[in-house]
Amino acid sequence: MTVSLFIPCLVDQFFPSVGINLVKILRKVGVSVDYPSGQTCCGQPAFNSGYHEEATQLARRFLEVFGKAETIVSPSGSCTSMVKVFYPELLQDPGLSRELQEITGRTHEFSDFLVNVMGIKDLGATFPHRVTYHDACHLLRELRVHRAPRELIRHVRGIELVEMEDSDACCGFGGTFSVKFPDISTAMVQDKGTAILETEAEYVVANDSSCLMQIGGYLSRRDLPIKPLHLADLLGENL
Amino acid sequence: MNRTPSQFKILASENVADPRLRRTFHSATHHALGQRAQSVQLVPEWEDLRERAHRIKEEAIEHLDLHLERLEASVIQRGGRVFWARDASEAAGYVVDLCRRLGASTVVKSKSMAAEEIGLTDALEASGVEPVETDLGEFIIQLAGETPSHIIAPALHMTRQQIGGLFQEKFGIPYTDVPSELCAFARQRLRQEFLSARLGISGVNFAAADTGTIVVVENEGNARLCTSLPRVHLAIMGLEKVIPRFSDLPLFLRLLARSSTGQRQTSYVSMISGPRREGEWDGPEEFHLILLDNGRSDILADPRVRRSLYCIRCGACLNTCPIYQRVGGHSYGSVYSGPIGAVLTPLFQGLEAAQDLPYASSLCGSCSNICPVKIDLHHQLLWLREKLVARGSTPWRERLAMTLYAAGMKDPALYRMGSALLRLLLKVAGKSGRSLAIPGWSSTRDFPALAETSFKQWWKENRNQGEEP
Amino acid sequence: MNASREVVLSRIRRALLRPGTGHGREQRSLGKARSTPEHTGSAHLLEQFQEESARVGGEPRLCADFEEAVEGIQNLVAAAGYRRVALSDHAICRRHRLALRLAELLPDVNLWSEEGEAHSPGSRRRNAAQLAQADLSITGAEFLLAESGTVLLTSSTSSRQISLLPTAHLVLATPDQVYPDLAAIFEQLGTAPEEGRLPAALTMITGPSRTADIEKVLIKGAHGPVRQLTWIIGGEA
Repeated sequence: MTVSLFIPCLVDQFFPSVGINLVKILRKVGVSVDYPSGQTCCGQPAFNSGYHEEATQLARRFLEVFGKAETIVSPSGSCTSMVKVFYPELLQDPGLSRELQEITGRTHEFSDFLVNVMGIKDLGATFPHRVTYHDACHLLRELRVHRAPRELIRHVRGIELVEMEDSDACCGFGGTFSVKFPDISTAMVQDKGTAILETEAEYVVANDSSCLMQIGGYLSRRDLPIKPLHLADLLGENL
Repeated sequence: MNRTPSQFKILASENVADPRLRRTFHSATHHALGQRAQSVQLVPEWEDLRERAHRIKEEAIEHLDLHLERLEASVIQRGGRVFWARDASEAAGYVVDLCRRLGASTVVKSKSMAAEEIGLTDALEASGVEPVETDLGEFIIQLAGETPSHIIAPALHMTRQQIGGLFQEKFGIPYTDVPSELCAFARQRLRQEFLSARLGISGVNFAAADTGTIVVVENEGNARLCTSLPRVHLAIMGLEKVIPRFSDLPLFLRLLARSSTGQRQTSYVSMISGPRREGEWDGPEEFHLILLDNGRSDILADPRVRRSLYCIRCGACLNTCPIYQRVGGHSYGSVYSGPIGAVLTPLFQGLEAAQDLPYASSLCGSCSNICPVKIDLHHQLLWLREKLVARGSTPWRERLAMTLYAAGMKDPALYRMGSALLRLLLKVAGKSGRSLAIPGWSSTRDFPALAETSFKQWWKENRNQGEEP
Repeated sequence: MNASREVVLSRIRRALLRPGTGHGREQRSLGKARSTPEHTGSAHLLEQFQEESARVGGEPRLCADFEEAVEGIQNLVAAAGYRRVALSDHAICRRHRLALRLAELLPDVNLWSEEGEAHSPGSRRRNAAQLAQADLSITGAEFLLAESGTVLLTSSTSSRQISLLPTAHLVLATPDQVYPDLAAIFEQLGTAPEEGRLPAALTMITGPSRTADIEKVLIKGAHGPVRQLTWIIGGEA
């Protein structure tokens, strides 16, 4: 099987290790990895702000770039749901519907892909630390992925997973929301931070770099002793 | 206390900074969510119920004209009267005229979001009629000259001490902040009003088209008093409250009670079909039903936001919304708050008058997830944002930024060049590997540094590394 | 019918892109999603009703026969020190001549009965004032709903205000009136428009009147009765 990587622009520019580790993980489970180099951004920032024309242009590009891909895997619940859930709403072009349907069916968030497509829960990673898991909103409520990342974490040697209170509560990122309403966004991440601290975990794990940027940015500003960690980094670095 | 939706940013910032309000809304919303979760857990077929309710609402709204005509005919057949109101002033005018005809100097009123929406109490006061709010929460905020901060619990934002002080000041009674004593005082005081009022006004939770039955759901009994004791009962409903059949009610009653307060059933459900019938002991001699449009037909005209008319006003989306939980109901500057308010207020009052509301969401989706009639609330917000953009109502800087963003993202070469250029500039400025300063972000959170090598670059250089031979 | 009727309706039709009236359009039937209900009055349903009613602060009780209920009322009145008791004209009270028997058993209590009261607006107002003073009212139910511990009353068999104004409200019922859920009851109601049997007011009561409008503190007896008692007679005490 060949997997085409769909690497969000945020990961590309700020957190490339997530992509690198994803490559490592996928190769470890025996699939060949391809990275369509024409890819840029799925268009979510434009779509979420109401700029549907701009978003449509980028969505069409995505279809061109990934049109021939056998399987598409992304280390982001948010960008995956843009493709799987929001493209069909955005591109109400009957001419595209079949192509779109096929592509959305072949696109997967990486933890969902590993556990529910490949049937792999144990990657053989070792990480003797206490961690807590944050449910990223889009992964949880648009894609309904709740168990897969936890399964992957539980199978890591030496790891201790402690659930935080309201792990499904939004961290306050929300794209441009975080800069349009910084007070509310900060109040939300404060509460998230408190819930994380109460677990006495060393790491807060999530499958979306955007949530981790928000949570991590807050934790680091407050000098709080908890590190944000993408699940792909956790698994890939410790194979 | 005249708040408008255009002030959302200011009001929200004020309220989010108020620790007492934060605590109040946090504990109240979490309490309600806990109650809800407990009672929903007992219904294994909950998801089926949501789906069925969604389909019935869809049926009602997609054939709204038919169902309203049918409702009208059924109500008239039951001896009731129906008044169609285009807008708020027409609806309020009808009530004022009715008061004149009845010679009513006071009217007793139970909770009705539609009445709030049309500013009924102000209209009555202006014409010399005293409107008496009888729901305890509404009674309290009417005394305080406030507006509701929650669909279900209007006085949610007030403490018992504030309420105690208010009663002392307004009624000259000795100060108490014991809730049961405050409640007992209100009960006794309002009894007199119930016994003497000629007109009782209620809202409508559901109206069954086939039987002409209006349903009023409550816990206190004040709506029963309003609809039973006065000589005339007037009910006011938004057009969208009609459901096709009386037999649809069990489903909606289950969903509503559990979603709003976590009760299996509320204390009282009144199903009223016209005025008192011959041979019955009591009940009003006249029954009037106002069907209120006030912008609803405009919402209906846009299929993308039409589903917001399915709302049964349970308040669950308010409770679960991380924004509402932190800014409270008053920040929204309108009678409808939380996610459903962020959708309805711009639709009712005009997009430009409530421009911030569609953006007052992190799109976390918990509202759509909890909605008992499965309204895709956060998707509706996205459509409203799109409408604002299409009308050119967003700031020019944002439009420019989006144009540049799309141009850069459309062209991989431009994207690569831009990304290289940015790194070069940072290097020249000696800021490589340093956190970027982003307006609106960086005052409370660190922004990450641009990675030295992008993933794209890494792939170009290392794509074959580690690959199985 | 007012002028805005046509305006509003035509706006709606335009919004729905519907030419003219939509009469004759096929209405989708959703079918019934219900299975056959359990038999009414089963021991399981009686138990469930009691459990649910008690959970919301109602006071359910099974009485072996009407004698036990009468004795129960006597004890209730004595224990709570009720001075004014109002009786509805419901068949269950009439059938057992409850007014007469209570008059004998409770000579010190001010007993008021709706029986034979005139139905004029003036008398209703006087009755309301009377009932507002009553400590206890006794009425009869049409249906009981096990799922939520709810009683259903209709305006055709008791006044609306008698179950609403007094401090405590006692509903008398029989085991065959207990149904598993609301849909099962609605099937019995005969709501078809041509049947026209629906009373002007059908009231569902679940526990006492309550409010949580002050700091979410639960208070019983907001505007309606503080106590809601439901006694099922003939249900094997």
